[in-house]
Amino acid sequence: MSAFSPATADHVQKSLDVLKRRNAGQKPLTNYFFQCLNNVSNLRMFESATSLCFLHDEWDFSRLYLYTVDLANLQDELGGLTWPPIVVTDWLSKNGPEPMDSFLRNLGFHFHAIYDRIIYKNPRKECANNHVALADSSDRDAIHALLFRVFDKYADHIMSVEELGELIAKEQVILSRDGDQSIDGLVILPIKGENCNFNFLYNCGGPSNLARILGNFYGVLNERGVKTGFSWVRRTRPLVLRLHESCGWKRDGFTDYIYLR
Amino acid sequence: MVAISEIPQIIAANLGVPAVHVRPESKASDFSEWDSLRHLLLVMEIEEKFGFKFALEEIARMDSVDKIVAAVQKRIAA
Repeated sequence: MSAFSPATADHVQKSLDVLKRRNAGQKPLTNYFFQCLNNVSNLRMFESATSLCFLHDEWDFSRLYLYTVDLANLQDELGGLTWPPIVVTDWLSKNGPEPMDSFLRNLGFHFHAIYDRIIYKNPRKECANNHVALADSSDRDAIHALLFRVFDKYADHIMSVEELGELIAKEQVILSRDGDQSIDGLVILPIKGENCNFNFLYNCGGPSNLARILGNFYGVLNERGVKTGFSWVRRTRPLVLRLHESCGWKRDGFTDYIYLR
Repeated sequence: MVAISEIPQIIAANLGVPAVHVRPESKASDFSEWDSLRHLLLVMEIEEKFGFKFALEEIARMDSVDKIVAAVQKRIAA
């Protein structure tokens, strides 16, 4: 029986290049947009003449990426493989989940969540206030534990402790604290140039606290010259979508369909 | 434009509570429905109806009906 074999990021990338050259001119289906292959060592790969799949271990599950020019054949090939206990995969589309929905269900996946992408151009004009502060390196582990407690590890692409530490060092994590100095709110704002892809906003500090955290979020974006960005909102959270739309964000039509096996 | 006297009704509609429960002296902490998300949404609806925007720090301080009304009155008078 074929299996996913251990592979390096370099090996995956070279195999992908070969596959693309071999099938030049054919329309591929893929959910791999060059995510997460930097400095990772826990990859396993499966390849055939028309497809390449790889698994990247995250926490206690594996995330599946694929590139294929023959989905029907890939279904047959993957159907005979041995799978890890929990596998997650994303399908990003502007046109609904097919044909991937049928493909994944036939491989034993089930639907887990839908997220809609929202974008902004020129963030809301705000000034940072003095009620919240930038996270410190000593907050790193507590923040990481909080992310796991509050967010969905399968869907929300929770960063590694090391990546979180880098964001803290770059002053891209804003916190608020309660009277006991425990974290009662946070926003993580990874900034690249004039762009911010913002996915983690949390508050348990009462109605006023969220407004202050958001005020600081937009204040910092303005101070640092951020002009554009995107985020993802779970479709089961329409009020969150309304909030962001009130602040100038708009859906751009991209949807992330997330499946679990 | 809506009247300032309609603000309690706007708040009640946002919270999904009967309008008679929203009194001038009512505070956010009086309602389990008045959470952080609802707070922002109800003030932003008021912004939209009155045609101006508050700073988020101002919104943070509007934690009662009379503070919201006072903030709107102040902005209209400015």
